[in-house]
Amino acid sequence: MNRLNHLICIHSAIPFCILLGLGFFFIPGWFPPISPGMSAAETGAMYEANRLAIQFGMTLTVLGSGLWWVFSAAIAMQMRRIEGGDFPILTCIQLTSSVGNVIVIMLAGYFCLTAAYRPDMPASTVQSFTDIAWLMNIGAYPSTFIGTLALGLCILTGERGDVYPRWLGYLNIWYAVVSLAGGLLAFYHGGPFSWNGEIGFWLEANCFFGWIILMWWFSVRAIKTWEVA
Amino acid sequence: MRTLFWSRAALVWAVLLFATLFSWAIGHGVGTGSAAGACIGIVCVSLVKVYLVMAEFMELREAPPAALWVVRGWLVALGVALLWLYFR
Amino acid sequence: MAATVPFAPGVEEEGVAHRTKARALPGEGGIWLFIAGDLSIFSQLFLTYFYYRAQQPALYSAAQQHLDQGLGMLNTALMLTSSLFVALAVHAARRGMAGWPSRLYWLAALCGVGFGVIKIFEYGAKISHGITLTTNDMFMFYFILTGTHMLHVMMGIGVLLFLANYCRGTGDGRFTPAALRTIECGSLFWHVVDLLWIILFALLYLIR
Repeated sequence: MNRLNHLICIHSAIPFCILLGLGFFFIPGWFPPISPGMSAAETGAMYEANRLAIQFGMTLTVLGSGLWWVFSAAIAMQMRRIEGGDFPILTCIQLTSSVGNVIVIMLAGYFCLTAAYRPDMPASTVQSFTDIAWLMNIGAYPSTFIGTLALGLCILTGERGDVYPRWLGYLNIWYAVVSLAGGLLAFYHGGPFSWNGEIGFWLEANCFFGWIILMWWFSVRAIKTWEVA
Repeated sequence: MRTLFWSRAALVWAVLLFATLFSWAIGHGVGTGSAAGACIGIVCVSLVKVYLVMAEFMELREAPPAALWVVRGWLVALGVALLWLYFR
Repeated sequence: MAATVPFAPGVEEEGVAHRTKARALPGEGGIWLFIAGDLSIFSQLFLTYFYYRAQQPALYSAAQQHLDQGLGMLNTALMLTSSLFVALAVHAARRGMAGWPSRLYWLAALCGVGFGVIKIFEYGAKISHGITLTTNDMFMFYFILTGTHMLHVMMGIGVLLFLANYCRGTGDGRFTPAALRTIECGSLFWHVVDLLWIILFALLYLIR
Protein backbone atom coordinates (compact mmCIF):
# COMPACT_ATOMS: atom_id res chain seq x y z
CA MET A 1 0.00 0.00 0.00
CA ASN A 2 1.53 3.28 -1.11
CA ARG A 3 0.36 5.80 1.45
CA LEU A 4 1.49 8.74 -0.68
CA ASN A 5 -0.77 7.66 -3.55
CA HIS A 6 -3.78 7.62 -1.28
CA LEU A 7 -2.90 11.01 0.17
CA ILE A 8 -2.50 12.54 -3.28
CA CYS A 9 -5.87 11.12 -4.28
CA ILE A 10 -7.68 12.45 -1.25
CA HIS A 11 -6.08 15.87 -1.73
CA SER A 12 -7.57 16.00 -5.24
CA ALA A 13 -10.62 17.40 -3.42
CA ILE A 14 -8.82 20.73 -3.32
CA PRO A 15 -8.25 21.26 -7.07
CA PHE A 16 -11.72 19.81 -7.64
CA CYS A 17 -13.35 22.48 -5.49
CA ILE A 18 -11.23 25.24 -6.97
CA LEU A 19 -11.90 24.21 -10.58
CA LEU A 20 -15.63 23.76 -10.00
CA GLY A 21 -15.97 26.98 -8.02
CA LEU A 22 -13.98 29.10 -10.44
CA GLY A 23 -15.18 27.30 -13.56
CA PHE A 24 -18.92 27.04 -13.08
CA PHE A 25 -19.54 30.04 -10.85
CA PHE A 26 -16.99 32.80 -10.60
CA ILE A 27 -15.43 33.06 -14.06
CA PRO A 28 -18.71 33.06 -16.04
CA GLY A 29 -20.10 35.56 -13.54
CA TRP A 30 -22.64 33.01 -12.29
CA PHE A 31 -22.16 33.74 -8.60
CA PRO A 32 -24.58 34.49 -7.06
CA PRO A 33 -26.31 31.97 -9.32
CA ILE A 34 -28.32 33.04 -12.34
CA SER A 35 -32.07 33.08 -11.98
CA PRO A 36 -34.28 30.42 -13.56
CA GLY A 37 -36.79 33.23 -14.05
CA MET A 38 -34.68 34.83 -16.80
CA SER A 39 -36.33 34.91 -20.20
CA ALA A 40 -34.82 33.24 -23.25
CA ALA A 41 -33.84 36.66 -24.62
CA GLU A 42 -32.09 37.56 -21.37
CA THR A 43 -30.25 34.24 -21.35
CA GLY A 44 -29.13 34.76 -24.95
CA ALA A 45 -27.95 38.26 -24.14
CA MET A 46 -26.02 36.95 -21.13
CA TYR A 47 -24.14 34.52 -23.36
CA GLU A 48 -23.55 37.25 -25.93
CA ALA A 49 -21.99 39.49 -23.29
CA ASN A 50 -19.87 36.83 -21.56
CA ARG A 51 -19.22 34.26 -24.26
CA LEU A 52 -15.51 33.73 -23.75
CA ALA A 53 -15.77 33.82 -19.95
CA ILE A 54 -18.49 31.18 -20.06
CA GLN A 55 -16.50 29.01 -22.45
CA PHE A 56 -13.36 29.27 -20.36
CA GLY A 57 -15.23 28.62 -17.12
CA MET A 58 -17.02 25.58 -18.55
CA THR A 59 -13.70 24.20 -19.79
CA LEU A 60 -12.36 24.36 -16.26
CA THR A 61 -15.57 22.72 -15.01
CA VAL A 62 -15.17 19.79 -17.40
CA LEU A 63 -11.48 19.54 -16.54
CA GLY A 64 -12.11 19.46 -12.81
CA SER A 65 -15.06 17.10 -12.92
CA GLY A 66 -12.93 13.96 -13.29
CA LEU A 67 -11.11 14.69 -10.05
CA TRP A 68 -14.20 13.60 -8.19
CA TRP A 69 -13.44 10.02 -9.31
CA VAL A 70 -10.02 10.31 -7.72
CA PHE A 71 -11.38 11.73 -4.47
CA SER A 72 -14.12 9.10 -4.31
CA ALA A 73 -11.65 6.29 -4.88
CA ALA A 74 -9.62 7.42 -1.89
CA ILE A 75 -12.75 7.38 0.28
CA ALA A 76 -13.74 4.01 -1.15
CA MET A 77 -10.42 2.52 -0.04
CA GLN A 78 -11.14 3.62 3.52
CA MET A 79 -14.58 2.05 3.25
CA ARG A 80 -12.86 -1.11 2.03
CA ARG A 81 -10.86 -1.17 5.27
CA ILE A 82 -14.06 -0.80 7.30
CA GLU A 83 -16.13 -3.36 5.44
CA GLY A 84 -13.47 -6.01 5.26
CA GLY A 85 -14.25 -9.41 3.78
CA ASP A 86 -14.32 -10.41 0.14
CA PHE A 87 -17.51 -8.66 -0.93
CA PRO A 88 -17.41 -4.99 0.09
CA ILE A 89 -20.72 -4.06 -1.47
CA LEU A 90 -21.15 -0.66 0.18
CA THR A 91 -17.71 0.32 -1.08
CA CYS A 92 -18.73 -0.71 -4.59
CA ILE A 93 -21.95 1.25 -4.38
CA GLN A 94 -20.14 4.40 -3.28
CA LEU A 95 -17.51 4.11 -5.96
CA THR A 96 -20.07 3.39 -8.67
CA SER A 97 -22.27 6.30 -7.64
CA SER A 98 -19.33 8.67 -7.98
CA VAL A 99 -19.56 8.13 -11.74
CA GLY A 100 -22.94 9.84 -11.69
CA ASN A 101 -21.60 12.87 -9.88
CA VAL A 102 -18.83 13.35 -12.42
CA ILE A 103 -21.18 12.91 -15.37
CA VAL A 104 -23.61 15.62 -14.28
CA ILE A 105 -20.82 18.12 -13.68
CA MET A 106 -19.05 17.25 -16.92
CA LEU A 107 -22.23 17.34 -18.99
CA ALA A 108 -23.31 20.60 -17.37
CA GLY A 109 -20.05 22.04 -18.62
CA TYR A 110 -20.57 20.61 -22.11
CA PHE A 111 -24.15 21.79 -22.41
CA CYS A 112 -23.11 25.35 -21.60
CA LEU A 113 -20.10 25.05 -23.91
CA THR A 114 -22.49 24.00 -26.68
CA ALA A 115 -24.83 26.87 -25.88
CA ALA A 116 -21.91 29.25 -26.25
CA TYR A 117 -20.48 27.50 -29.29
CA ARG A 118 -22.36 29.19 -32.14
CA PRO A 119 -23.32 32.84 -31.72
CA ASP A 120 -26.31 32.47 -34.04
CA MET A 121 -27.96 29.76 -31.94
CA PRO A 122 -31.56 30.76 -31.14
CA ALA A 123 -31.99 32.20 -27.65
CA SER A 124 -34.60 29.61 -26.71
CA THR A 125 -32.12 26.84 -27.49
CA VAL A 126 -29.42 28.59 -25.49
CA GLN A 127 -31.87 28.73 -22.60
CA SER A 128 -32.80 25.08 -22.92
CA PHE A 129 -29.17 23.97 -22.81
CA THR A 130 -28.50 26.23 -19.84
CA ASP A 131 -31.57 24.83 -18.11
CA ILE A 132 -30.32 21.28 -18.57
CA ALA A 133 -26.91 22.23 -17.20
CA TRP A 134 -28.23 23.96 -14.10
CA LEU A 135 -30.95 21.45 -13.28
CA MET A 136 -28.47 18.61 -13.63
CA ASN A 137 -25.58 20.19 -11.79
CA ILE A 138 -27.28 22.01 -8.93
CA GLY A 139 -29.93 19.37 -8.53
CA ALA A 140 -27.61 16.39 -8.75
CA TYR A 141 -28.99 14.10 -6.09
CA PRO A 142 -29.31 10.46 -7.18
CA SER A 143 -25.60 9.79 -7.05
CA THR A 144 -25.05 11.82 -3.92
CA PHE A 145 -27.97 10.20 -2.16
CA ILE A 146 -26.98 6.63 -2.90
CA GLY A 147 -23.24 7.20 -2.39
CA THR A 148 -23.41 9.03 0.91
CA LEU A 149 -26.06 6.66 2.22
CA ALA A 150 -23.73 3.76 1.45
CA LEU A 151 -20.86 5.57 3.11
CA GLY A 152 -22.90 6.35 6.21
CA LEU A 153 -24.19 2.80 6.55
CA CYS A 154 -20.68 1.49 6.03
CA ILE A 155 -19.32 3.57 8.89
CA LEU A 156 -22.16 2.60 11.22
CA THR A 157 -22.36 -1.11 10.46
CA GLY A 158 -18.80 -1.90 9.40
CA GLU A 159 -16.42 -4.31 11.03
CA ARG A 160 -14.07 -1.74 12.42
CA GLY A 161 -14.70 1.63 14.00
CA ASP A 162 -11.24 3.17 13.98
CA VAL A 163 -11.17 4.47 10.40
CA TYR A 164 -13.82 7.17 10.52
CA PRO A 165 -15.50 8.51 13.70
CA ARG A 166 -18.94 7.06 14.23
CA TRP A 167 -20.70 10.40 14.16
CA LEU A 168 -19.47 10.89 10.59
CA GLY A 169 -21.63 7.94 9.63
CA TYR A 170 -24.70 9.69 11.02
CA LEU A 171 -23.65 12.87 9.27
CA ASN A 172 -23.47 11.09 5.93
CA ILE A 173 -26.97 9.71 6.34
CA TRP A 174 -28.21 13.20 7.25
CA TYR A 175 -26.50 14.68 4.19
CA ALA A 176 -27.95 11.97 1.98
CA VAL A 177 -31.46 13.00 3.00
CA VAL A 178 -30.67 16.71 2.62
CA SER A 179 -29.37 16.11 -0.91
CA LEU A 180 -32.83 14.98 -1.99
CA ALA A 181 -33.93 18.62 -2.08
CA GLY A 182 -32.25 18.71 -5.49
CA GLY A 183 -35.31 16.93 -6.80
CA LEU A 184 -37.42 20.04 -6.25
CA LEU A 185 -35.48 22.30 -8.62
CA ALA A 186 -37.34 21.04 -11.66
CA PHE A 187 -40.65 22.38 -10.40
CA TYR A 188 -39.83 26.02 -9.71
CA HIS A 189 -38.57 29.03 -11.62
CA GLY A 190 -38.02 31.05 -8.48
CA GLY A 191 -38.44 30.99 -4.73
CA PRO A 192 -36.63 28.97 -2.08
CA PHE A 193 -36.67 25.62 -3.90
CA SER A 194 -35.34 26.76 -7.26
CA TRP A 195 -31.77 26.44 -8.46
CA ASN A 196 -30.84 29.84 -7.03
CA GLY A 197 -33.05 29.62 -3.94
CA GLU A 198 -32.27 29.66 -0.23
CA ILE A 199 -32.84 25.93 0.06
CA GLY A 200 -32.28 24.74 -3.50
CA PHE A 201 -28.91 26.39 -3.88
CA TRP A 202 -27.51 27.96 -0.73
CA LEU A 203 -28.34 25.21 1.74
CA GLU A 204 -27.35 22.48 -0.70
CA ALA A 205 -24.10 24.19 -1.73
CA ASN A 206 -23.06 24.79 1.87
CA CYS A 207 -23.81 21.18 2.76
CA PHE A 208 -21.97 19.91 -0.32
CA PHE A 209 -18.77 21.82 0.36
CA GLY A 210 -19.03 21.22 4.09
CA TRP A 211 -19.32 17.49 3.43
CA ILE A 212 -16.26 17.55 1.15
CA ILE A 213 -14.21 19.37 3.79
CA LEU A 214 -15.21 16.92 6.52
CA MET A 215 -14.66 13.79 4.43
CA TRP A 216 -11.35 15.15 3.20
CA TRP A 217 -10.17 15.94 6.73
CA PHE A 218 -11.14 12.63 8.26
CA SER A 219 -9.91 10.63 5.27
CA VAL A 220 -6.50 12.27 5.53
CA ARG A 221 -6.45 11.32 9.17
CA ALA A 222 -7.50 7.76 8.35
CA ILE A 223 -4.78 7.42 5.70
CA LYS A 224 -2.10 8.80 8.00
CA THR A 225 -3.02 6.41 10.80
CA TRP A 226 -3.37 3.42 8.48
CA GLU A 227 -1.24 0.62 9.85
CA VAL A 228 0.88 -0.58 6.94
CA ALA A 229 0.13 -4.16 5.96
CA MET B 1 -47.80 -3.80 31.97
CA ARG B 2 -49.87 -1.61 34.21
CA THR B 3 -46.76 -0.25 35.91
CA LEU B 4 -45.32 0.43 32.50
CA PHE B 5 -48.27 2.42 31.25
CA TRP B 6 -49.24 4.39 34.36
CA SER B 7 -46.11 6.45 34.20
CA ARG B 8 -44.86 9.94 33.71
CA ALA B 9 -44.72 9.29 29.97
CA ALA B 10 -48.45 8.59 29.80
CA LEU B 11 -49.19 11.73 31.80
CA VAL B 12 -47.10 13.79 29.41
CA TRP B 13 -48.93 12.21 26.50
CA ALA B 14 -52.28 13.25 27.94
CA VAL B 15 -51.00 16.78 28.49
CA LEU B 16 -49.75 16.89 24.89
CA LEU B 17 -53.13 15.77 23.54
CA PHE B 18 -54.90 18.38 25.61
CA ALA B 19 -52.41 21.04 24.46
CA THR B 20 -53.15 20.08 20.86
CA LEU B 21 -56.86 20.65 21.39
CA PHE B 22 -56.08 23.86 23.23
CA SER B 23 -53.93 25.22 20.38
CA TRP B 24 -56.73 24.39 17.92
CA ALA B 25 -59.14 26.27 20.18
CA ILE B 26 -56.88 29.29 20.35
CA GLY B 27 -56.98 29.38 16.57
CA HIS B 28 -60.76 29.43 16.78
CA GLY B 29 -61.19 32.35 19.10
CA VAL B 30 -60.67 30.92 22.58
CA GLY B 31 -58.72 33.35 24.74
CA THR B 32 -58.20 35.89 21.99
CA GLY B 33 -60.23 37.18 19.09
CA SER B 34 -57.42 38.42 16.92
CA ALA B 35 -55.39 36.40 14.45
CA ALA B 36 -52.22 37.96 15.83
CA GLY B 37 -53.00 36.90 19.36
CA ALA B 38 -53.86 33.43 18.13
CA CYS B 39 -50.52 33.21 16.34
CA ILE B 40 -48.61 34.07 19.49
CA GLY B 41 -50.63 31.60 21.51
CA ILE B 42 -50.30 28.76 19.04
CA VAL B 43 -46.55 29.26 18.57
CA CYS B 44 -46.00 29.29 22.33
CA VAL B 45 -48.15 26.22 23.03
CA SER B 46 -46.52 24.30 20.18
CA LEU B 47 -42.98 25.07 21.31
CA VAL B 48 -43.89 24.04 24.86
CA LYS B 49 -45.17 20.75 23.40
CA VAL B 50 -41.84 20.27 21.64
CA TYR B 51 -40.06 20.98 24.92
CA LEU B 52 -42.13 18.33 26.67
CA VAL B 53 -41.35 15.76 23.99
CA MET B 54 -37.65 16.50 24.26
CA ALA B 55 -37.53 16.68 28.05
CA GLU B 56 -39.69 13.63 28.74
CA PHE B 57 -39.85 11.28 25.76
CA MET B 58 -36.27 11.99 24.67
CA GLU B 59 -35.19 11.95 28.31
CA LEU B 60 -33.26 15.18 28.28
CA ARG B 61 -34.58 15.78 31.77
CA GLU B 62 -32.12 13.18 32.97
CA ALA B 63 -29.27 14.49 30.86
CA PRO B 64 -26.60 17.00 31.83
CA PRO B 65 -28.37 20.34 32.35
CA ALA B 66 -26.56 21.90 29.38
CA ALA B 67 -28.65 19.78 27.01
CA LEU B 68 -31.96 21.28 28.13
CA TRP B 69 -30.48 24.75 28.12
CA VAL B 70 -29.52 24.29 24.47
CA VAL B 71 -33.07 23.13 23.75
CA ARG B 72 -34.58 26.09 25.57
CA GLY B 73 -32.27 28.44 23.69
CA TRP B 74 -33.22 26.93 20.34
CA LEU B 75 -36.96 26.99 21.08
CA VAL B 76 -36.87 30.58 22.30
CA ALA B 77 -34.81 31.68 19.29
CA LEU B 78 -37.13 29.85 16.90
CA GLY B 79 -40.24 31.29 18.56
CA VAL B 80 -38.89 34.82 18.57
CA ALA B 81 -37.80 34.53 14.92
CA LEU B 82 -41.16 33.12 13.81
CA LEU B 83 -43.12 35.80 15.62
CA TRP B 84 -40.84 38.54 14.37
CA LEU B 85 -41.36 37.33 10.79
CA TYR B 86 -45.12 37.20 11.31
CA PHE B 87 -45.36 40.72 12.71
CA ARG B 88 -42.84 42.67 10.63
CA MET C 1 -14.13 11.14 23.39
CA ALA C 2 -16.09 8.47 25.23
CA ALA C 3 -14.61 9.54 28.53
CA THR C 4 -15.68 13.15 28.22
CA VAL C 5 -19.05 12.93 26.48
CA PRO C 6 -21.86 11.85 28.78
CA PHE C 7 -23.70 9.15 26.88
CA ALA C 8 -24.82 6.10 28.78
CA PRO C 9 -27.54 3.64 27.95
CA GLY C 10 -30.00 2.55 30.53
CA VAL C 11 -29.42 -0.78 32.25
CA GLU C 12 -31.22 -2.95 34.72
CA GLU C 13 -29.64 -3.90 38.00
CA GLU C 14 -31.36 -5.92 40.72
CA GLY C 15 -34.63 -5.48 38.93
CA VAL C 16 -34.37 -1.71 38.92
CA ALA C 17 -33.87 0.10 35.63
CA HIS C 18 -31.53 3.04 35.68
CA ARG C 19 -28.77 4.77 33.74
CA THR C 20 -25.17 3.78 34.20
CA LYS C 21 -24.35 7.42 34.84
CA ALA C 22 -26.44 9.73 36.95
CA ARG C 23 -26.74 12.45 34.33
CA ALA C 24 -26.38 11.11 30.85
CA LEU C 25 -27.88 11.40 27.39
CA PRO C 26 -29.54 8.37 25.86
CA GLY C 27 -28.19 7.02 22.60
CA GLU C 28 -24.84 8.16 21.29
CA GLY C 29 -23.16 11.31 20.00
CA GLY C 30 -23.81 10.65 16.35
CA ILE C 31 -27.59 10.39 16.65
CA TRP C 32 -27.72 13.73 18.50
CA LEU C 33 -25.62 15.28 15.74
CA PHE C 34 -28.08 13.88 13.22
CA ILE C 35 -30.99 15.23 15.25
CA ALA C 36 -29.37 18.65 15.58
CA GLY C 37 -28.81 18.67 11.82
CA ASP C 38 -32.39 17.70 11.12
CA LEU C 39 -33.79 20.30 13.52
CA SER C 40 -31.52 22.88 11.93
CA ILE C 41 -32.77 22.10 8.42
CA PHE C 42 -36.39 22.12 9.49
CA SER C 43 -35.89 25.34 11.45
CA GLN C 44 -34.60 26.90 8.24
CA LEU C 45 -37.60 25.55 6.37
CA PHE C 46 -40.02 26.89 9.00
CA LEU C 47 -38.40 30.32 8.98
CA THR C 48 -38.32 30.39 5.18
CA TYR C 49 -42.03 29.56 5.15
CA PHE C 50 -42.88 32.32 7.59
CA TYR C 51 -40.68 34.78 5.71
CA TYR C 52 -42.47 34.13 2.42
CA ARG C 53 -45.85 34.00 4.16
CA ALA C 54 -45.35 37.50 5.49
CA GLN C 55 -45.00 38.82 1.92
CA GLN C 56 -48.46 37.60 0.90
CA PRO C 57 -50.51 36.86 4.02
CA ALA C 58 -53.84 37.09 2.22
CA LEU C 59 -52.86 34.51 -0.41
CA TYR C 60 -51.60 32.13 2.26
CA SER C 61 -54.64 32.56 4.50
CA ALA C 62 -56.98 31.90 1.61
CA ALA C 63 -55.04 28.82 0.56
CA GLN C 64 -54.89 27.54 4.12
CA GLN C 65 -58.69 27.32 4.18
CA HIS C 66 -58.24 24.23 2.02
CA LEU C 67 -56.23 22.46 4.73
CA ASP C 68 -58.23 20.00 6.80
CA GLN C 69 -57.58 20.80 10.44
CA GLY C 70 -59.53 17.77 11.56
CA LEU C 71 -57.27 15.38 9.69
CA GLY C 72 -54.29 17.36 10.93
CA MET C 73 -55.45 16.91 14.53
CA LEU C 74 -55.97 13.21 13.95
CA ASN C 75 -52.47 12.97 12.54
CA THR C 76 -51.11 14.84 15.55
CA ALA C 77 -52.86 12.42 17.88
CA LEU C 78 -51.36 9.49 15.98
CA MET C 79 -47.89 10.99 16.18
CA LEU C 80 -48.15 11.72 19.90
CA THR C 81 -49.51 8.25 20.64
CA SER C 82 -46.79 6.59 18.60
CA SER C 83 -44.22 8.57 20.56
CA LEU C 84 -45.76 7.34 23.80
CA PHE C 85 -45.51 3.75 22.58
CA VAL C 86 -41.86 4.29 21.67
CA ALA C 87 -41.05 5.85 25.05
CA LEU C 88 -42.76 2.92 26.80
CA ALA C 89 -40.88 0.47 24.59
CA VAL C 90 -37.57 1.89 25.77
CA HIS C 91 -38.67 1.64 29.38
CA ALA C 92 -39.83 -1.91 28.80
CA ALA C 93 -36.50 -2.79 27.24
CA ARG C 94 -34.62 -1.39 30.22
CA ARG C 95 -36.80 -3.33 32.65
CA GLY C 96 -36.33 -6.54 30.75
CA MET C 97 -40.07 -6.97 30.12
CA ALA C 98 -39.83 -9.69 27.52
CA GLY C 99 -41.98 -9.24 24.43
CA TRP C 100 -43.22 -5.76 25.28
CA PRO C 101 -40.61 -3.66 23.46
CA SER C 102 -41.36 -5.48 20.22
CA ARG C 103 -45.11 -5.18 20.64
CA LEU C 104 -44.90 -1.49 21.43
CA TYR C 105 -42.67 -0.79 18.43
CA TRP C 106 -45.19 -2.58 16.21
CA LEU C 107 -47.96 -0.41 17.63
CA ALA C 108 -45.92 2.72 17.06
CA ALA C 109 -45.20 1.65 13.48
CA LEU C 110 -48.91 1.07 13.01
CA CYS C 111 -49.61 4.62 14.14
CA GLY C 112 -47.01 5.79 11.65
CA VAL C 113 -48.70 3.88 8.86
CA GLY C 114 -52.02 5.39 9.90
CA PHE C 115 -50.44 8.81 9.66
CA GLY C 116 -49.26 7.96 6.17
CA VAL C 117 -52.66 6.71 5.06
CA ILE C 118 -54.31 9.93 6.23
CA LYS C 119 -51.63 11.90 4.38
CA ILE C 120 -52.39 9.99 1.20
CA PHE C 121 -56.08 10.88 1.56
CA GLU C 122 -55.19 14.51 2.20
CA TYR C 123 -52.89 14.73 -0.79
CA GLY C 124 -55.36 12.83 -2.94
CA ALA C 125 -58.15 15.23 -2.07
CA LYS C 126 -56.00 18.22 -2.96
CA ILE C 127 -54.77 16.75 -6.23
CA SER C 128 -58.26 15.78 -7.31
CA HIS C 129 -59.20 19.43 -6.88
CA GLY C 130 -56.29 20.41 -9.09
CA ILE C 131 -54.14 21.62 -6.20
CA THR C 132 -50.50 20.59 -6.50
CA LEU C 133 -47.07 21.74 -5.36
CA THR C 134 -46.91 24.27 -8.16
CA THR C 135 -50.39 25.77 -7.69
CA ASN C 136 -49.19 28.67 -5.57
CA ASP C 137 -46.55 29.51 -2.98
CA MET C 138 -48.60 28.32 -0.04
CA PHE C 139 -49.18 24.91 -1.54
CA MET C 140 -45.52 24.76 -2.56
CA PHE C 141 -44.64 24.97 1.13
CA TYR C 142 -47.50 22.70 2.17
CA PHE C 143 -46.52 19.84 -0.14
CA ILE C 144 -42.77 20.24 0.31
CA LEU C 145 -42.81 20.62 4.11
CA THR C 146 -45.31 17.84 4.73
CA GLY C 147 -43.67 15.76 2.01
CA THR C 148 -40.24 16.08 3.59
CA HIS C 149 -41.80 15.20 6.93
CA MET C 150 -43.56 12.22 5.35
CA LEU C 151 -40.18 11.05 4.05
CA HIS C 152 -38.97 11.13 7.63
CA VAL C 153 -42.07 9.24 8.74
CA MET C 154 -41.31 6.51 6.23
CA MET C 155 -37.70 6.33 7.37
CA GLY C 156 -38.96 6.25 10.93
CA ILE C 157 -41.37 3.40 10.24
CA GLY C 158 -38.42 1.50 8.82
CA VAL C 159 -36.47 2.18 11.99
CA LEU C 160 -39.41 1.10 14.19
CA LEU C 161 -39.88 -2.14 12.28
CA PHE C 162 -36.15 -2.77 12.57
CA LEU C 163 -36.36 -2.20 16.33
CA ALA C 164 -39.44 -4.40 16.63
CA ASN C 165 -37.46 -7.20 15.06
CA TYR C 166 -34.26 -6.33 16.93
CA CYS C 167 -36.01 -6.60 20.29
CA ARG C 168 -37.44 -10.00 19.54
CA GLY C 169 -34.10 -11.73 19.82
CA THR C 170 -33.65 -11.88 23.58
CA GLY C 171 -35.42 -14.75 25.25
CA ASP C 172 -35.35 -13.28 28.73
CA GLY C 173 -35.95 -9.69 27.69
CA ARG C 174 -32.50 -8.56 28.80
CA PHE C 175 -30.44 -6.29 26.57
CA THR C 176 -26.76 -5.50 26.60
CA PRO C 177 -25.75 -1.85 27.03
CA ALA C 178 -24.81 -1.73 23.34
CA ALA C 179 -28.22 -3.09 22.36
CA LEU C 180 -29.96 -0.55 24.58
CA ARG C 181 -27.96 2.15 22.91
CA THR C 182 -29.23 1.03 19.50
CA ILE C 183 -32.78 0.95 20.83
CA GLU C 184 -32.41 4.44 22.27
CA CYS C 185 -30.96 5.84 19.03
CA GLY C 186 -33.82 4.55 16.91
CA SER C 187 -36.38 5.75 19.44
CA LEU C 188 -34.86 9.22 19.57
CA PHE C 189 -35.24 9.52 15.81
CA TRP C 190 -38.94 8.72 16.01
CA HIS C 191 -39.51 11.36 18.71
CA VAL C 192 -37.91 13.91 16.39
CA VAL C 193 -40.34 12.89 13.66
CA ASP C 194 -43.13 13.52 16.16
CA LEU C 195 -41.92 16.90 17.36
CA LEU C 196 -41.33 18.15 13.83
CA TRP C 197 -44.98 17.40 13.04
CA ILE C 198 -46.07 19.33 16.14
CA ILE C 199 -44.44 22.48 14.79
CA LEU C 200 -45.46 21.80 11.18
CA PHE C 201 -49.10 21.31 12.14
CA ALA C 202 -49.14 24.58 14.06
CA LEU C 203 -47.47 26.63 11.34
CA LEU C 204 -49.27 25.20 8.31
CA TYR C 205 -52.70 24.28 9.64
CA LEU C 206 -53.43 26.37 12.72
CA ILE C 207 -51.87 29.79 12.17
CA ARG C 208 -53.98 31.48 9.55
